[in-house]
Amino acid sequence: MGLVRRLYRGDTKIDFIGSRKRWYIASGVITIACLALIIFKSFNFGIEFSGGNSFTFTKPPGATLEQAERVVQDAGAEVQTAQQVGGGGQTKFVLKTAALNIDETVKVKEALSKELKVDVNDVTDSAVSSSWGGHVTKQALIALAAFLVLVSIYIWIRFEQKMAISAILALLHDLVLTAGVYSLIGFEVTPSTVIGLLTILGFSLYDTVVVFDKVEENTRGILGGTRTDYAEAANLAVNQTLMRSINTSLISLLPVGGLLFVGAGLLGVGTLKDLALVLFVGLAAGAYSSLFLATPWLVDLKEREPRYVALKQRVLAKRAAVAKTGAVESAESLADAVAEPEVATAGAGAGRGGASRPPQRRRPAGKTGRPSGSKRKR
Amino acid sequence: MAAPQGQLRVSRYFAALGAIIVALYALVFFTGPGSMTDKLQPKLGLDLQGGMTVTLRANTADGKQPKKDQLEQAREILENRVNGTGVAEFEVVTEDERNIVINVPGKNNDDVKRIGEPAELRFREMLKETPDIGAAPRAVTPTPTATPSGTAKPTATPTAKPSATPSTKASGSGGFAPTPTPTPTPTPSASGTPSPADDSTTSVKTADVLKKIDPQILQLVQQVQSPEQLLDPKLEPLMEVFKKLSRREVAALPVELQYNVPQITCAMLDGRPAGSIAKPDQQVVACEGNNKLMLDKASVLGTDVKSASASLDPQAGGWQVNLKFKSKGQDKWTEMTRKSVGKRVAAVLDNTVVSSPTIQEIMPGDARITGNFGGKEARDLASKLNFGALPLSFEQENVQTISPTLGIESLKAGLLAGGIGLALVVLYSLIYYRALGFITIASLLCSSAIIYAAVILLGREIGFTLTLAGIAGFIVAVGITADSFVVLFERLKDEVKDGRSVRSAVPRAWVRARRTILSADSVSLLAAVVLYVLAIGAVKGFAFTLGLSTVVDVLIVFLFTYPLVALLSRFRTFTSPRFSGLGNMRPDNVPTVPARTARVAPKES
Repeated sequence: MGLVRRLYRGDTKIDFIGSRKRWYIASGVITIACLALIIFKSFNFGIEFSGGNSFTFTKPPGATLEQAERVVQDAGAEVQTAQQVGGGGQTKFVLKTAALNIDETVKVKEALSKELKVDVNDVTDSAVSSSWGGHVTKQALIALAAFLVLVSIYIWIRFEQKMAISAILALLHDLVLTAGVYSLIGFEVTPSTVIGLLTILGFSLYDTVVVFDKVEENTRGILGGTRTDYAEAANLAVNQTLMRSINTSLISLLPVGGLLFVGAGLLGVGTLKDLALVLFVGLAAGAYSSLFLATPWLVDLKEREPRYVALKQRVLAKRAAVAKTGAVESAESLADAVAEPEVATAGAGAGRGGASRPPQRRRPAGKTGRPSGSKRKR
Repeated sequence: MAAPQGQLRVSRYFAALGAIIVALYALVFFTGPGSMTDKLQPKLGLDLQGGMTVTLRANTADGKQPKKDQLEQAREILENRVNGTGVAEFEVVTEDERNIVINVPGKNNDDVKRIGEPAELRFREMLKETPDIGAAPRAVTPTPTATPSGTAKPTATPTAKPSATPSTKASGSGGFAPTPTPTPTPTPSASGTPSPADDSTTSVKTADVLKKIDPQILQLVQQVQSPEQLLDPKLEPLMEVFKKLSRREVAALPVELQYNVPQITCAMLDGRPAGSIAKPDQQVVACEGNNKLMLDKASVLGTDVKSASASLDPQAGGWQVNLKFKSKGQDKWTEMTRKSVGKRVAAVLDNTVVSSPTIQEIMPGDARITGNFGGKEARDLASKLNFGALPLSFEQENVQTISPTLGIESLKAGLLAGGIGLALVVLYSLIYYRALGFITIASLLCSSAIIYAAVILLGREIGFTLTLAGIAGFIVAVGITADSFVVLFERLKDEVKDGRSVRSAVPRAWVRARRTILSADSVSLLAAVVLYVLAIGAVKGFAFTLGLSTVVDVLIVFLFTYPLVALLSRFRTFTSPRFSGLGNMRPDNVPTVPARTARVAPKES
């Protein structure tokens, strides 16, 4: 079976949990780098944070950006940045200036219409006080706090406390990573960006919740048996939902990619671009963290519980015993027996009664992440 | 969940969904005004149809949230003011307990931008006056005997005389007109732009500001009686700190310091946040032209004014604003003029002095404000006073004008982005899920139909407007909607892999997928609701559409996708490996294990 086929069938056996230390280190390094970037390099804040005015208008035929800049300058405004954005018939000039009062704004617009023959009504202008961005951000942080509390409670009730902790940690990781990428590349941060960042919350958790749903299902009742320990069951869940995770992330990314293409490519500025960009970065981070971080963290937390420690010992003991006594055949299920008679042995019966026992597979395909345990020790 | 039962249920599901869609579109077509095409037009936001949005933020002295009724009162007053400018279809709404948002569709209207400028009128007796030394170059000191620019006299008693003629360049000016300065042009710091220092939201405490100042300097500054005493050139470098104060910090300084420190210029005083000197029970410092005035507590307020009108002064030829007082206000006014005969009384509008005439005699009747203003300024002032002083002062936080052409372009761009996104998702599902991909497409179409109707209806019923951010929300939600199908299909694959027939796998997969979909959608919905309730600005639209899509998604998955999959699973062609890809999931070396014979044990995923 090729990799694609295995992915399609959910038969991959990637050892996400076993190699978790590696991912922790990688993520730790990246997170620290991101934090350092955020602290030392900071962000490229838009005028919503620094305050000021901006004028956007369709490029008049034959006019150059320098001309436009000079006109605005001559009208008494201090031009801070001048940009040409978009392509084709939609090329636009965006000029940002220091804060202007209403009369000055009117003057600039009149100058533009006089010198460059732009219709005054076609000039989009905005004036932002320097505190606007701050207020939006403050409100966003309040929203973030409220959301974290509510969603923790939800996951706590719906699943359990430790899942809530891991999910929230993964979420914070996504936020830091996204912010770090913004700082590194120097994308402009606007209130839309801040809000887009908040939306990642939903997505990141959405993905994590689906994986946890599977983990919960796989681990329900494993305490009663000796077949598999928590880490193995969780790893199986990640593998089983791997394709779904990839699909989900791809399917979420595709429309956002469309947004990004139109927002950044055709329009060049504005809400669409700001939102799409941050979502794109955040979704990618979210997909990574729900597979490589959230579940391993959960396993780390769970394996501290005495009952799971005991389970692990039981599983290991059983496997050792099985290895000693050799094959004690006891066909457990017809399907399994047909597919792979030699593995359908260990823990037969013990894992019954609602234990969601992973089915036996046909091909070993590498020893890592073998969740059903019985095979590896033989 | 045997097949015969399933058959019955499927039709029931479809019937329910059909009923919902029919009901929605019946509402769309049979309620609401306009022709059929009008009815199919969703209410577009200003960023898509062009228009102007002004966001005003209430300022309170203590930085706390304003009272609800005060904000509502302010909203009504603002609504009246916008109405006064003659624009149509505008809306004035409160947002976030603190902001008032004015939306005006269509063309740019600069008058509306001024609407939020507060008009807090206070009449205060002048205690002392000093020239604004700091703004001018050292050598030049403005005329120490500045003359008041305006007069206040009872219209009823023509005997009252202006204390000073509103002439000469040296005199101050009206509250609105640009200040004609008698001295050489002020340094850039006097250009009216606030100092660049931090402008944080929290209110500044006086004690914190004083900590910034060297204790010795502070002591000295607090002891002096007049600004002249601080004009020592040696002191100058030490006093630099005052120049660096932010506008909020300037406002927080004790009044004596504001008055005495030459480095605090009139430009800085004018730049204090709106409402800084609005409190009637405090002495304040304000500027008139190039003079700093120390003013007493306010005894007559803007709220005491019954009506105001602008007219041309028949004698002097300039414009004036006539004031009529409410009965209680009249008492206060009379009392104030009685006390202040021979003294100057300043009419303070917001942070500046409009005029400060000397009171010649007790005035039991109306008053008028004259100043160096033209007809427009006089009318502006009158209208502000007329529509009531706002109970709160506001700062203009964000003004956005979108030209109609840009609006249409944005709409097109949004729709294009949606089209591209949808096409990509459809393409991907077809490649990956083959026939199941068609179910995705059908489901997406179905949910689009519901969402479209919902947007129109919500626009009519609760005034929901579709903004660019909202369109972005829908596009992003395509991912969420499609993902529900992914969850269902993946579960279906799992079941088939366990050796079940597609037909028998469907109900089992559904039971499990349903749980996952509901959990995941709850999280999404939670995020959307929290954002909608707490965030401000354009994002509300985004959160709203995201939430709406999530709800519709649940509806579609339950009433459409699942029944459709169940229905199709009965047809052999659909379940063939080539068509749906599900056949591929069967164990390799077991061509077909009849599901019934499999034991219950492998109850996995």
